[in-house]
Amino acid sequence: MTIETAGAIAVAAVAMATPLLYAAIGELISEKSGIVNIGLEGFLLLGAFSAFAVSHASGSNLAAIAVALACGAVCGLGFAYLVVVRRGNQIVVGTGLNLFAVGLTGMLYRAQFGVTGSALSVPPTASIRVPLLADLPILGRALFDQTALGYLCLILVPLTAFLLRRSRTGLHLRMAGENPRAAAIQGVDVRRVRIAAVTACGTLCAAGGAFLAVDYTHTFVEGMSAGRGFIALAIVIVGRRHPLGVLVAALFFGFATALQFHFQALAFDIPFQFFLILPYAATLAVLAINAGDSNAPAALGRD
Amino acid sequence: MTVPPLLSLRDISVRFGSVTALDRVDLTVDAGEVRAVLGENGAGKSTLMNVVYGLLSPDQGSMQWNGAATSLRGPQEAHALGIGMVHQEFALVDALSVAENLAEAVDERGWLVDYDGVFEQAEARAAELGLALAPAEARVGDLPVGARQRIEILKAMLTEVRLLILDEPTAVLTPAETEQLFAVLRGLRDRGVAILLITHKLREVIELADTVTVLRRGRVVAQRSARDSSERDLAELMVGSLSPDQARAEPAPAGPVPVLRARRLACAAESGAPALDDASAEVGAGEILGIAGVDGNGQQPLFEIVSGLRAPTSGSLEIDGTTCSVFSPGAMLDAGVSIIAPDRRRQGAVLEMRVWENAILDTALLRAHSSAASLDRDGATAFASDLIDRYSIVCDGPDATAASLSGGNLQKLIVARALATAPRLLVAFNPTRGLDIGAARAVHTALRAVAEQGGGVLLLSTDLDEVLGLSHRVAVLSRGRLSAPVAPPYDRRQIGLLMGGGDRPEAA
Repeated sequence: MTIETAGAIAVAAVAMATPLLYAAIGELISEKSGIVNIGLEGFLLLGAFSAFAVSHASGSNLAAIAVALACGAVCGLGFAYLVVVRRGNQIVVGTGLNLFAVGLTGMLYRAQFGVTGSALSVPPTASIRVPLLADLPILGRALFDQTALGYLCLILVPLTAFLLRRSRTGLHLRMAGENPRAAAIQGVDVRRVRIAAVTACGTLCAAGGAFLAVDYTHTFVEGMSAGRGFIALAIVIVGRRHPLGVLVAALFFGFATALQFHFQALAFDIPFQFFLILPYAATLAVLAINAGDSNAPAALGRD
Repeated sequence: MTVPPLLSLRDISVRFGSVTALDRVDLTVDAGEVRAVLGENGAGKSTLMNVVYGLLSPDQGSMQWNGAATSLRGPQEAHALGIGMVHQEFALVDALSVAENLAEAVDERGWLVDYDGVFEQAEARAAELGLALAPAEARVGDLPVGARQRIEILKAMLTEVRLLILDEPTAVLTPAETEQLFAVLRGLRDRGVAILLITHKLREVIELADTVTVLRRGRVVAQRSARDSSERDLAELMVGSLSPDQARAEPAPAGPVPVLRARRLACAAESGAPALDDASAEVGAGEILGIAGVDGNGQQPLFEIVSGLRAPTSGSLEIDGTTCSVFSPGAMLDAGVSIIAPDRRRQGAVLEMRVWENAILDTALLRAHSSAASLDRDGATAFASDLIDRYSIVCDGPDATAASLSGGNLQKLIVARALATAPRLLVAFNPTRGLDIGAARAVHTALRAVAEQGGGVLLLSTDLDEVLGLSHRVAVLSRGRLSAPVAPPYDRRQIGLLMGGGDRPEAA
């Protein structure tokens, strides 16, 4: 394998990992506060569609990303209203959101753009190239020639780790997820903490969706999140609910996907569907090995 | 003197649905006063404290702080006034470290938390109060219950406290630790701090309190000076009337085959839990073997091994002459072992389930009340009703949720279930922790009944009075080592020395 090939695989791996990482970090924050949000898939789709629609209409990907983030925040707030304020069942509401997002984005897409057959494309987001570092072999282009959302995602990992461990907000988040009663006795407003956490989760997921649409594929396809929201849920467990663990798990899945692209391109005499399975099978295998979920917050998924 | 009391409650009533938890209660506390609040479970003590601490707003009545009308909308407002509380069921987050648990209790409120600074402050305060503090990085859930309580106490006292509420604070402490706590509380009182002490231990009321308020069924039945009261007076005020406790047990004749024979059991320390080191013991048929000791000296691993929750790393265990090869709760239940777990709400019952469901939560009972396909709900309900009657469990019938039972009544249900299978061996770990006299006596009677019917009882308890009052023989656990058992009459001083890790008795 040449250095160029390795570099190309690395670029694809990081790009495939980015939306997963956004969703997984969002989920991590939500779960630390005690709320399971299985609606990641829906948030990704909403983010992707709103970014695509705004980019297509305005030609500005900055505006597109801003609107997608706002859209994610509003939907996150709605989700929080249902599960935290109205105390809806978290799994039911999350599932509902996933189905709602598929239907809504599909309907809006057809209403707005018709069924054209060929996908519409939007202008790609400009990438920011770090001089010198981007010329490093293999990882140079993958890490130092990315869009703003790509860089932001990588910064998010140490930032989240730091905030969880050292900030008061992080402490409140963990208290709310582990023992809401004790947190309340200490004067922590558990509801507010959880609403904020779920809203942050929605916003981050939408950022992942926006990345997928305007930074990576430059288009929108119905159901384009393609199970990434569920993979992100698995990544949070495999990553042991630690930002660095989540980063490693997301990169692993991104790498498996990139490798799959590469194998397809090599045109072995194997039906391409088998390659498509690869990343998902790898995730399942890792999940099976890492079956224990012993570090889940004590109050996760309860009220 | 016209100085208003520090805290004054007038005419406080709290109703939960149709139940009146507090009925026009008055309570005052002066600065520098220790006031005890006595009462049976369900008498309204905790409800009253929750009102004082701002966790509950009363349906009626008024509260004055330093003579000014106040109403609290939450614990933060109580903190701001200088009211601290030590909760009986600790308000600690098990998964977090000691420093993290203390971080919300200090005054500092920056957006970043200086955990080192928090812990230094806590250590200084702990030294001042004479409390031993666990390391900053230790996970609180891994600490023994006594250490957890010290963190809970410290948490309430990190800021300037003018009124300290303690809910059954000595329930898990040894006599020495209790003395130490009382010395701390006296020191606080002398500095002008007011103390509200909820306890059911009458001796402690007389020893520590200046005044006592007795609650019965949500009403104040007496307010008086504690020093002019005798234990008997107080007990009668609290429960109405008392039958004398049974006389101390005599040594039981040992059966031919011991019900429990543990040989050289050992297991390694595990994430903060202490090790068990070469522990051997026998419990005869008809015998209660008491295991005394300070909390955290190996009771947990011994309990877990005998109840099948974990396997020993070495040594052997025989139940009724059969060597245990599989260590699982199911295998132990099948071998005839019944369990009264130390944490009744987390391990003893499923709170979300109903009383009748909890009553048959045991492999044998479940088998008796189910067919291959379904539960015999009517049979189980009748069975539960019978237990409710026989053990005087106060609840809304078999269909009430376990969560709705008070601690004492829940424990009676758990004991009733443990006895329903006529166990060969009953393992009870702190079975009366936090219970009032009436419920504790019911539990003690049940333990004696097991022995009288020819079963063995292994009683692990950190309450020395309980161990000495019930056991036919007593062994002491200290730092994972189990002493040779001693028979009555017990020498408290000798047992106290053993608990403190003193010399083991000469092999007799």
